[in-house]
Amino acid sequence: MPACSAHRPPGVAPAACPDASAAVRILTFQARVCGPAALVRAAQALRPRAPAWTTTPPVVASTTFAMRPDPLSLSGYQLLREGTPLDVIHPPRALLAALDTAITAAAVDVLSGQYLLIHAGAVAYADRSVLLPAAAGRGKSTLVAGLLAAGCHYLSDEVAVLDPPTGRLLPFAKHLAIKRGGAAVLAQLYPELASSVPRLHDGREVVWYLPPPRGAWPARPVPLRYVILPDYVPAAPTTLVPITRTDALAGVVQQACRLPAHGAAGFGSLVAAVREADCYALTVGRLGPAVDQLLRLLDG
Amino acid sequence: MTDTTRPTPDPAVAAYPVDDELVLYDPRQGQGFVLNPTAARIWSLCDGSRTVAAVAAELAAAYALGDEQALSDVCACLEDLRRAGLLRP
Repeated sequence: MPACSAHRPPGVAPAACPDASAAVRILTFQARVCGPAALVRAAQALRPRAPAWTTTPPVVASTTFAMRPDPLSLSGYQLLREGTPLDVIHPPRALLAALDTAITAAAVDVLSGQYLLIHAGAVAYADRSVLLPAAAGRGKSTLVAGLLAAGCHYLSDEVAVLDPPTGRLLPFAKHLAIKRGGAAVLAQLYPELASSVPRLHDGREVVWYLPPPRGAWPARPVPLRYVILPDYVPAAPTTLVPITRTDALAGVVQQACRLPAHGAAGFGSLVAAVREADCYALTVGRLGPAVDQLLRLLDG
Repeated sequence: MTDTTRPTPDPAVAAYPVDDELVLYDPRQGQGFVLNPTAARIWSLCDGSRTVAAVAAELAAAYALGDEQALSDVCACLEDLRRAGLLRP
């Protein structure tokens, strides 16, 4: 009589993660990262630990990312989201940057239902926050890094999180992603950049991941007090010019993520936050003078 | 739109004063609009009770404009607002 395995009730379980896994929290979002232990450790090292007070609320949504060698190529890696391949990554040194981008995108997906997210840098100083909305390539990350080196608290270099009911900004835990031009400018302020490994971002652009300085997180949500529209213009004089709140609002709306999903109430929250802010356009010719001007403004 | 039309804001449109300007938001379009102080004044006069001619008369008085200039400005502004889907009819 053939052996018969013991009956088990049918069930569906998520595929087991190979080797190792780690959790990454960003506010109410959680990413679970799994794959070969060394890669998981390296992935963890590319994300800062979020301040504890931002992860007290329960997880609203969790997404699992897996990294595994691509069976069809010699050196590529598959990056999977919830078991579905997102991409095959060549060369392997681009894998962690692709994972980091995927985690940020998934977090933005989830958090944009709960908060108003703005493509912007953001820092805090003396319990007042500064929002720096701008399209890619305008020098947000470099400017934020310069402000952190000058003693500002860190909220984000790319995704600003506005809590609609309170008009306060919350940290979005990620390392600063510094591009080649920024890395050269920041070399003196952050000597560690010289020894850190650049990553291939989106398969084409090299970025350096810069951890926020120790103690850089604010201790609580920070009211929005300044909206600064930055623009990096090489060799231009650095200027900080007042602008109308409606011009600033237009700049914020342009960089807002999924604003229509929040309806008139969400738009109204954005207006209310900008109404409380002083607004400027900052032309950044050189980082030092730009940081000095902003610090004078914040000290005033 | 004629002089006797009584323009009314579309009820779906939300209005937010910001300093001396007015920001309108149409949630159906997911689009915001900034009205300068003159356009904001015209918007505030379009409450369904005033004709276009009456709005123009009030604008003329407020800004010391000639009647013809005021009517022309009001008609152009109302047409912009109507085209943007912010105003009825």
